[in-house]
Amino acid sequence: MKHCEPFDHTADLGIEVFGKDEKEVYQNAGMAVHDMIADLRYVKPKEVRKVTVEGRDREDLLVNFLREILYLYNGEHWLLKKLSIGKIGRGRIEATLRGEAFDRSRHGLKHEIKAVTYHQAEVKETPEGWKARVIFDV
Amino acid sequence: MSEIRLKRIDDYRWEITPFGGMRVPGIIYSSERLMKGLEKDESPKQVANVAHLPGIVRYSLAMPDIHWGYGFPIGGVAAFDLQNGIISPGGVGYDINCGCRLVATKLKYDDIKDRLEKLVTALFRDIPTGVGSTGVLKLSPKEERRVLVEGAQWAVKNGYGTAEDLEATEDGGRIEGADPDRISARAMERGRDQVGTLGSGNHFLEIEIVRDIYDDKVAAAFGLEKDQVAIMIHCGSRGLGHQICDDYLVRMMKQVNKLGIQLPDRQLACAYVQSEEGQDYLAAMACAANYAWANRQMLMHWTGETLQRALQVSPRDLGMRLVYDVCHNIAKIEDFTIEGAKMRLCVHRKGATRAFPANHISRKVARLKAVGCIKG
Repeated sequence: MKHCEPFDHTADLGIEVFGKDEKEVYQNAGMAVHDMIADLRYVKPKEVRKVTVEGRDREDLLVNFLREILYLYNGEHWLLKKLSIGKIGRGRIEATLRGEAFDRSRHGLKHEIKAVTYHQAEVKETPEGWKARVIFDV
Repeated sequence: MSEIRLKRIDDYRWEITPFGGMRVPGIIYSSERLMKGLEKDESPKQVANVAHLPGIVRYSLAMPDIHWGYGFPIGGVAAFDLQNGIISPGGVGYDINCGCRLVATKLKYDDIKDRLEKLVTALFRDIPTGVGSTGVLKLSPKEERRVLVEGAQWAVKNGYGTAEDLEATEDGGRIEGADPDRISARAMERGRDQVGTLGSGNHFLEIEIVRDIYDDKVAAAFGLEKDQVAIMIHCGSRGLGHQICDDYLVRMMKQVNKLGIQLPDRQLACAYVQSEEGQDYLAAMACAANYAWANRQMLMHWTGETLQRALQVSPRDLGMRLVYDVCHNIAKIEDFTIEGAKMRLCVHRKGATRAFPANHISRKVARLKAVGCIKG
């Protein structure tokens, strides 16, 4: 199953993310954010971070989760190599992240993602598995 | 846009008749030709969505260049009653005080036409731009707070420009009411090393040539003539503004749920202007607006230095002069007369600029007084 697919949305960047279960769709969405920012092949899983996020429904949880993930780069200049979701449920998600500080000499940048929007954000279970959709301000 | 019914009012106005939860009609200013381009666009629906918001006065408006945005359309204008109306970060946009600055020079096209490549290379070298760009300045927390409160005035005080530049900047490059305590540590962090950077996306710094004059009187008042070289700078408040918008969308969404306000789109999250959240957002938004004015002021200053070096000309021969700096992503408290009654309104303009007619009382710049078009 493919993890993620970009879609056209005027001048913006949107993605559709897939997963076999709820955990995997959030995990793939989180990785997709950093995959759009930089070439992750050269990122090493040197440091471990934990993130806990809450939301009032699936979409709110997705947008809030991706906001945290995005801030790691935008605010702390830190890039993600690996992401695993520990617990998910009751409007709460706990994730463990592995990565390292951004290093201009080794990490090539791809896009500037400025924000995660609520616009047409969606997380749903389909007969083929789980699917999420989110649009970024670039 | 299936449920949208557009009624033609005259050659340049189309009305969206209220349906569902719309409190007022929508009006799109456009031509028949431009309207055809909107047939498959979601932006008319966004004009209708804005009309759902509490306290909207008269109309949800859209300018001719309307296009799809998050929540509000880009080119959207909406005014809300200060007493019973809302303020929405989505009505201002992520890039608070994104704006344009047009700078005239004394140069003519002939002076630079053989040196364009050299000029562009020098500008790319000196002006931080593109993905991940950071500036030559890293502000201390204390200095950053000054930028947030003083705006372009801070830049001029620190040697990046002149008092004349401030005169030709909307609101003198500083909006009142900015309070750095109303913004998050994250926003402060993102703002620290980005002042004086263009960033990416649709932002740019352009070398422009005046090709045609459409109105001699206006061009003379602006100090523009055929074949003149000008510089246009388009950018805003960078990561700082985005973080403020993001932080307040989350905070206001909680408020919307608490108050039970029905929204057709979550990106329209809002709070009553008079509420604590509304007042905090106004004070935070003012910080980002001031940051953006300082940012464009510094970019203009460095552009001047680069042009002097690359062309080996003196500041006097270069003759850089700010024609005007006007923002297009902001919410402002303004007084209007509505059906004979004076009202104080919170006017959201997203991808739209305020324009005054000639001789308007608000026009402060003497040379611009006789002509209309831009805010003075």
